[in-house]
Amino acid sequence: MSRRGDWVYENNGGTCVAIAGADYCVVAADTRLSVGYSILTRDHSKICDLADKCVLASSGFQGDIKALHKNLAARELLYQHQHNKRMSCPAMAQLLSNTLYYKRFFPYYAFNVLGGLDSEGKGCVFTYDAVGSYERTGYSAQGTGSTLIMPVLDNQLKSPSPLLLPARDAVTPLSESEAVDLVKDVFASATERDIYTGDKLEIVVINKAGTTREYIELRKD
Amino acid sequence: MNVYLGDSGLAGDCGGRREGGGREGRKKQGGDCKLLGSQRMHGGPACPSVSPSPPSSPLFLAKWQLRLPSLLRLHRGPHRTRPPFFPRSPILEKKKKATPPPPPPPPIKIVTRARRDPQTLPHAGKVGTLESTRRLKEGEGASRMFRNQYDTDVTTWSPQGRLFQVEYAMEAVKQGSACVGLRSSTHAVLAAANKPASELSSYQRKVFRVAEHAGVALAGLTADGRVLSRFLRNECINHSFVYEAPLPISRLALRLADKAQRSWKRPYGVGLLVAGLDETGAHLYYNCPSGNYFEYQAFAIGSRSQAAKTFLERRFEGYNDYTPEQLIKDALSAIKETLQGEKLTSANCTVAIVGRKDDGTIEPFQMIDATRIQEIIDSMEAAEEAPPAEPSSMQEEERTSDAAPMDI
Repeated sequence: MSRRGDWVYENNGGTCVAIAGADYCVVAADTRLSVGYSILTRDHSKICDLADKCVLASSGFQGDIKALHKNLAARELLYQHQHNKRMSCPAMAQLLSNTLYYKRFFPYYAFNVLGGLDSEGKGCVFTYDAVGSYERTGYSAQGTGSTLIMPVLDNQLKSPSPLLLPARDAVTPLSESEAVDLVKDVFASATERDIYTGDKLEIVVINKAGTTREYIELRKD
Repeated sequence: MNVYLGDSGLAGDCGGRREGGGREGRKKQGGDCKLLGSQRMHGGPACPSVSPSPPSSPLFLAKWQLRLPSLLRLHRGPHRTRPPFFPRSPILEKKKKATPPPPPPPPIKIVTRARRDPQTLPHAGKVGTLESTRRLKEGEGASRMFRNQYDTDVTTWSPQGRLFQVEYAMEAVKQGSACVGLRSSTHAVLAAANKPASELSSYQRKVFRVAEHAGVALAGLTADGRVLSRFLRNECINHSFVYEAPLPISRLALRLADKAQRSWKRPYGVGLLVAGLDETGAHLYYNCPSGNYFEYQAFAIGSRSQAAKTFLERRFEGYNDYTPEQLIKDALSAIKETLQGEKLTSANCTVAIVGRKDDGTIEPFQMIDATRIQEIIDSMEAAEEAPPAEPSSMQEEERTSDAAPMDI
């Protein structure tokens, strides 16, 4: 495929998934970095801990993703100094949206999924497009494997549409371990068919007690 | 004789206030000139109004000598205390020679208390201006600063090579309540005495976290201190954004000092103790409003800080090897010295610590919890009351690794 001479982006691939529970949130991303048909590294984290209850996973162009994560981390530190507390997940969600739209006409090539606990301790997941349009949902997948994963999550998690009245909680009734198992299964399936997804899976679980990390091996081909 | 020019030929309206004069000056010289209100004429150019008696009459001289309040005072002869602004007319000079010059005014009585050695005063060897004194309130003893014609603008040098506005800004630091900083090779501690402005109010925050690895304690105009803390926070964030590394403390102090070099702004009236940890260990710097900064092993600033400094001077040599616990205890003792008799409780002091623990992990800059401070104070008092024991025998458990959360 020939690109324009002035094409400044490149897609480094990868998939990110997040699932919100009643009092937890699971955010997961694979660790493969690719360009074209080559693998750059099998061990690159796409997840950034922004606040103690807020985690961002992004796939797309790693240069923009690194810059975006740094930007948000610096803004969060500033917030901490000014307000003497860490940023809540909904606040970070809005900040991320604004940051992305700020570059509306030269966007961050980043497909983001923000997960964490809101101020009440309930799990929340926010899903974004490249220019900052966002929505709070119960689960989401972004990246090269998202088209393979999203239908499966829809099938399993049955998130009610936000247009339905009365408004129902978007979080899933699954328990934490069930949600983690679902994520592992879903990634294993995506790895089979998506060339950009594989190598290792990094799973971050945020709950009242704090944040835990887990690494699962995936197919390396 | 031109009544508007007067004898001396000096034109213009009432010269206004005497050099360096103030309320005291006016009081001593009698009432205000009724014609010109608050503008006094202290032998300045002639007052533009008609004299009731001609200048050369003996009656006028007598009145002037007795310093009775009169509608106006005409200047007779050359000004005693200020050089003339305008050249004198030779015709008028000739007239003056006939009459004897008036006697000099009686010296103004200056009520003094502790008088500082004149050579050490800011205007030793002053230009021939008549100065009045203005007593400044200070925490430690009464001392005096002379106002003079070089102190209005921060960009004006005095003939002795001093910038008075900057020196006055440093005086502002002495008005703030005490702050103490000390460091070992791995940890730095900042402590501040919490003095509420009134019974009804709470105390001003004096210790600020600037970055994970650094913080400041300030004394002086806390509003200026807040602005500077915000600036320092920005600098630290920008540096770690670009270099992915924490800003070394010496460079942090340097940025702060550079900020004092804005000639169009008034100096920041706050002294900052900058403490932090970087690759080379723990550091403590003191930044003056003048833009100077020095590194210290231990230092105290603010009112009654001399007591704390004396305490620290006796003990600082061993600080490099102190444990964090010992540093905190010494900081609290130093603050206790500044309270001068008042009981030290966790309510009237703030303590913050930053450092690198024995296992290599960083202990980020944070205020120590009030309950923990109270425990330490209690143990200090218990140790004092107990028969003299070895410092090591009253060693408490090392600071636990779960550091106290940031106190608001």
